[in-house]
Amino acid sequence: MFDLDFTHTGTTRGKYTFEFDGDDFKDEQAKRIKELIKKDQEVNEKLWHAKSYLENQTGEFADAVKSKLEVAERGYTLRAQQYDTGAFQHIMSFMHSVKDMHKREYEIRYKESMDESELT
Amino acid sequence: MSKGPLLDENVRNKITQLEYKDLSGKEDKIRMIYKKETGKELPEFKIYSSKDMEIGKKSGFDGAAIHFYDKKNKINQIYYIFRGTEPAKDFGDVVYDALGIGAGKKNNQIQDAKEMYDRIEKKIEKSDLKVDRYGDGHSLGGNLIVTLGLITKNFKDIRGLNDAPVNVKQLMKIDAQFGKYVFAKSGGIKDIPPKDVVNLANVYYKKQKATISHTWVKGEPMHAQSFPNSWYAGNKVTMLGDLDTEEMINIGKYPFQKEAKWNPVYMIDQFRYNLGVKTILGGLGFANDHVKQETLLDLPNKSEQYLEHIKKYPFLHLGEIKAGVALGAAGGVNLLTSPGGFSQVYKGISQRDQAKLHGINYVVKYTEANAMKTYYQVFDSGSQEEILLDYEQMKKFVYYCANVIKDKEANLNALKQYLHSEINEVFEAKKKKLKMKISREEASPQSFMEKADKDGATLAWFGQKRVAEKVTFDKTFDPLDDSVFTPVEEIISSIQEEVTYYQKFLEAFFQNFEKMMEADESVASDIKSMKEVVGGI
Repeated sequence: MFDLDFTHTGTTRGKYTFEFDGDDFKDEQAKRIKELIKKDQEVNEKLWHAKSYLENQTGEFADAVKSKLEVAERGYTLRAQQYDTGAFQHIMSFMHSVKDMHKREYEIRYKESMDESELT
Repeated sequence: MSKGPLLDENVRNKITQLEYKDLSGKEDKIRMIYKKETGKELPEFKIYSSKDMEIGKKSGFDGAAIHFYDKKNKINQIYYIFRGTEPAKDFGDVVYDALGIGAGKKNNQIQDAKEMYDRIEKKIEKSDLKVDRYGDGHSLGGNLIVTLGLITKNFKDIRGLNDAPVNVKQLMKIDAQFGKYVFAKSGGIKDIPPKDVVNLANVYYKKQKATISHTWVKGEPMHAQSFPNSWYAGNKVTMLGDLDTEEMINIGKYPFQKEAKWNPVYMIDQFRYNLGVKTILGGLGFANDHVKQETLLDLPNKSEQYLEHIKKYPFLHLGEIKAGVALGAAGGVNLLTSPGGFSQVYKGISQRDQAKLHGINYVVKYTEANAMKTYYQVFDSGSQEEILLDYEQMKKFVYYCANVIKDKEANLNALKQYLHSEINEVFEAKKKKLKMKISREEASPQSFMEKADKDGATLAWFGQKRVAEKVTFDKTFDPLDDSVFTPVEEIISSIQEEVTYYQKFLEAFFQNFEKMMEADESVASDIKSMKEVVGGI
């Protein structure tokens, strides 16, 4: 793994890898994307609530409008699961990318001595 | 320029109420009503009554007209007021009247109403001021005033109060031009389905419809009845009284229509029920043809025994209607075996007290108390039927939806922002933080070496001591992997589709809404400005 030049003073020819500490990135980011998705769901729920304005309306027109909203509601329920899965995939990929980024390669130049006094 | 109407709704209601005592000679009473309501004096006026003009003796028609003429103040207004049959009715009377309208073969009352109108118009035509015509009618009088308005086509405003509907087949006979129109439009077919005639009437009388409104006490029996050929021409309905009162049963409509679409028991029951109603209507028409001098709809004493019986005991006859035994068309079905017939009777009995709401007194009382809500009467594109629309509620619905769709768009933009900026910003911030950490480590190579090389691999090599002089990190960064963006892109594209769906939904709603409300100019312009406010839809 190492290919060192044993000169008295030299530079490593090989590269080392050091992993820096990450932080609570995953939780923060998950919170953010989930918040956006949740907001979208809240907006939809609000829209379906619009049906209440048609409650006392007669005729098939109002029924058709209500049914359009109900179709949208059913469709969203199915999609909501996909959104959650998508958000999870996004977070995991993002987390891995950031984690990988923290693994940095480095070179080192050093002095070496057999005698301890030389070092001081 | 002509002025606005002299008489407001309250005054007109009270005069219609007074017409039941005959308006002839009631000038002082009318002045008093007006003064009490407005605090003002009425201009000069003249009363014409059918009784004084000797019209309606045979048919039972009763009506009056009040003509206001004030050249100086440019007032030339006439109010036609037609009364119903009786001031107080029970459920049987009302259903009986509605059935009569449904039968639609008797024209003598409308002929008398037209004769009265023609004679009065001749008397008032001399004026050089344009005359504004107004009309009010209660119960059957409502049917007459609306029919008169449709055929004369020159009323400014007509109000039907707990009124009976117009019969379109009858209208075809009375208004020859309309008859020809229907004939031409239907390709000369003899038996045009009632629904088609009503649809054609809606087109033919489009202008007149806009001048007609109905005022109904919620829960009174007349307006709940619907029969083939019956048509409530108009564009507004004001509901009075307690709006939570349940509507009366509709004898002409099978109560389990939804169930009858899929359940064979109800299907058969519906067929029998409808046959029964048709038979009764046919029976009334038949009786009318044979009872020449008696007013089918109005006189209490019918020569036909069964008609009298229907009038007195309508609930007993519901079973007969269902079974169709009134004229022996289809007998032998017990009421108790019919879910539809039984339901109608059961419900009808519990609603019996509501019959009194039909009286003109309740119209006067609730209008005065301002206990009312106005609905628009529009043609429903879905059911192809006239429906009542609460315009204010629909308006709230539009604004509510438009606002929510805007919220959704805003959230979609937040997601796009997240995709196109936030992710990179977060990534850049992480990079920056990492670069700072790198700089710190590079600034102290020896301490980094100690930290990085815990097992001493680089610090000691076969006993040699090493001292780190410089640490250099790789500072190149790969861009983020596609797998970070793709799931968010997919979510965005899906939500974008949802936004498009909702926008199209609202667009389609607007198109239908505009079409439904087009008859009313002020509403049409209100919708236009609503579209502008909502914007982009």
